[in-house]
This record gives sequence, C-alpha cells and structure tokens, in this order.
Amino acid sequence: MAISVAHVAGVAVTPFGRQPGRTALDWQATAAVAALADAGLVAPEIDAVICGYATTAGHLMPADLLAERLGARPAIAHGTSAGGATGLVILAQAARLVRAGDARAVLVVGGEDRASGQSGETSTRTLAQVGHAELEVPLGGTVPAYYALLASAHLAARGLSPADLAPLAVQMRAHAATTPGAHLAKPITVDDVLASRPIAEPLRLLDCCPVSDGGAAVVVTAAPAAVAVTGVGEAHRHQHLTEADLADLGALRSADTAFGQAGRSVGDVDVAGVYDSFTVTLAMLLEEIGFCAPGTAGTDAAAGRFARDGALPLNTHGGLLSYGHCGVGGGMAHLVEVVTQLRGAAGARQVPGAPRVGFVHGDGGVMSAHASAVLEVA
Amino acid sequence: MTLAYDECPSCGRRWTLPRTGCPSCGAEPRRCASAGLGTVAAVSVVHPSSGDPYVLVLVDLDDGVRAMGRGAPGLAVGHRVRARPDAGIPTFRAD
Ligand SMILES: [Zn+2]
Repeated sequence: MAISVAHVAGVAVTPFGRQPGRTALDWQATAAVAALADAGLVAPEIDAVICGYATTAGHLMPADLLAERLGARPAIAHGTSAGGATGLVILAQAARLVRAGDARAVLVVGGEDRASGQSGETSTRTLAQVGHAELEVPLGGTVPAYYALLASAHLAARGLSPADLAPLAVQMRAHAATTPGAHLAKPITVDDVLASRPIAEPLRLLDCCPVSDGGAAVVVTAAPAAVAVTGVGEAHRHQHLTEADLADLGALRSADTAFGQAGRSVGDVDVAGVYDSFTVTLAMLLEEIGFCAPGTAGTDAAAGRFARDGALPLNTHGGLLSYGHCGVGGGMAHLVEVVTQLRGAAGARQVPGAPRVGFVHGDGGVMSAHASAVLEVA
Repeated sequence: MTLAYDECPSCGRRWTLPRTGCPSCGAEPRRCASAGLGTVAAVSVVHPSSGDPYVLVLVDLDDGVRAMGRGAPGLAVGHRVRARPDAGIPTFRAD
C-alpha cells in the first residue's frame, strides 16, 4: 500500500490579546470551527481529534471535550502536553496518523484563556513547574528566570550584550504592526527594549512575549490540498535546565529529522516560523538549527534578513513576542502563518516571490521539547 | 537541600539531578556529595512581581556537573564561587 502524504487542508487563528469572557474550550472551538470551514469539512467528517493542554482548564480529556462540543465523533482522540512544543508535536502526530493510514482527516487544536482565565501570579507559578520541583523551583525558578540564565550563558559564550538580542523583538513588532488580531502592534526600537523594565536580567519586558487569550487550529488530511507536510521531527533531550546540554539542545536533531524526511535543508526554506517566547529563545533556535551562524541572529534581524522581503521571512505574523502567546495556540500560530504564506493568501503580509518551502519549529519547557515540520506547496 | 550529583558506577558519567538510570549505559547511579566549588556559567538578577530581586546562578562545579543555586549580588560569568547552605538553599559566593 502506498504511504499517504499528509496535507494541511485547513488553518485558523483567532485574534490574540486580553479578551475576557471566553473559556479555553471556547477558544479551541472557535479556532476549530474556522479551520474546518477553511478545509471545507464538517465535524462529523473528522476521524481524529488531538487537542493541546490548557493550563486554565486542566481537563482530563480535552480532545473528547472538544469533539463533543463540535459534534465530532472521532475514532481517535487524545490530549497532548509537551509545553510550547505541543502545537508542532500534535501536527507531527497528525501527519503520522495520516501517513500510516490510521486517519484521513485529523483536527489539531490549541486554545486557552491564559491571560484572563487566571492571575498573572498563578500563571507564573504554573509555568514554573517545568523546573525541578525540589532542586530548581524552590530557588525561585520561573520560566523567565530559566531563559534569563540561558541568555546569560549564550551572551557570555559569544561575547554579546543584550543589545544584540533586541533587534529580534523589534522585527517581530514590525511584523505585528500589519497583522490583524496581534496582541501588541505599537512599533518599538532597540532603545525601547533596553529601557523596558528588567524581568530577569539580562531579559527585559520587551524581550518577553505577552500572555494572551486565543486559539489556533489545523486540519490535516490524506486528501490533497494546497500545502503538504513533507517532514516532521522531534527531539527530547532533557526536562530541566540543570540537565541541558547547551551545545545540543535538540533543536537541530528535531529539524534534521524533518528536513531529512522532506529531502530539504535550511537553505531551501523560503518562509519560517520559529518559536520566540523570548528573544533569546529565537536566537538560540535559529543558531542551533543553522539558519544563522553562532551569535548572529540579532545582527541578522537588524539587517532586515527576517523581514517579509528579506532572505528568510520569519514569524511574519509577529510571533509570540508580538502576535502573542496563548499557550498551545501560540506555537500553532506560526504554523498557520507559514501555511497561509505558502498558499499566497497572506494579503498585505504576503512574502514576495511565491514561497514554496516552509519550516516551523516549536520549543517546550526550557529548550526541553523540540518539534519541527517542513511544509511545501503541493 | 545539599549540593549533590549522580555518578554512574559502570561508565563514570556524572550528572546533577537524580535519575534511576545512567543516560549513557543504563546502570543504576549512586548519589555523591559535592564540595560546592565551581565557576559561574550563567547569572540572572530576577525581579519578581512582588518582593525583592534575587540572584540565580548556574555553576559548573569542579565535580564536572552543573548546578543551579542562589547567588550573592555582583557575581558574573567566570567567577570562582563556593556554595554555602543559606536557610537550606545552596547559595554561591565568591571564593
Ligand atoms: Zn553509565
């Protein structure tokens, strides 16, 4: 039997921001309904539902919950938790189900009222649990603090300063300025980043993504569609920062697996979406995967390499840093944007030159879980 | 909380956080106490939404493993430090 090729038949992302009044399930359902409509499918035609976790809901079986809400009765349904990598992990799982012939139409969803469904302190405390319960969290470890330690090591090893990371935040904000639904759209400068209040030095407020409400969804099918998933990969090398090998975090391993399946390499990528919870996250991922030479991600950003008309259009919706971060849906927004660009349907945001090869990468925990996908015009 | 690390009795690999098996060879590790001497690998002054700022560090211990701790103000990457338990929390100060 021929192996099926997985296609992305439908995508949707909601506006992100502080938008009280809807639950995590509401955001998931809103995104799912829109993605199904985009795919030209109705819920009863879906035979697998994979739903990312929501910290505000903590439901035992989010995919069953969502399936019932939508009117779907899938043969396969489960929730998934891999931190910020979840959106790409569940896309990879959907592609595998389709390739294996175990499903023909998979609905992949993330959504959460992360900004308004809990207090900021509760959110910080919940997310800090990616640290070690006995040997990291009691020290005062938080997600920004863990990434600040990564930033400290990264900057010291390359002889850089915080000003070398700031252009990444500036470029994401410039992208968001023309993206409807972006959480943060007011333009910023490098000086604004450096003058913003310290969160966990060397990271300042504008080095960090906002916390948002919103959702995103993707429909993966065996039936042909405009965009194919030609490669997926994952790598899981550690959970805790203390055990991380900064020279081999897993991003390259994950990307190599995806590129290998697709028969592609970084040089083939026309448009990319790379996880950017903090400026340093984006710099480290771009450099480990090989999109940038060591220590040059910030200078590449300052030179316009990641602009829509640059050599590597990156996070053209504004990324987590400016479109926003609602949890699993935040990482999926990069996927939705790359598919939209490959379809040539990004309107005023459209990358010139009809991009044909896209790459998306997600990171969960403290560079702990990695998942990648190569997407191509079919 | 004392500074300690795991060592594999079979292949000699060392790491910090407790595991049930060696990631190289799978053997059951033994827990060893660290002397607490090392070099700062990363440092952050954390500004919590309420309360005073504090210093977090990653330290490359002379035992060949990396540990997280609190740090004294003013530490920088490359500084030699020694850990002292401070109300049970390992706190690194210039040695
Ligand atoms: Zn061993």
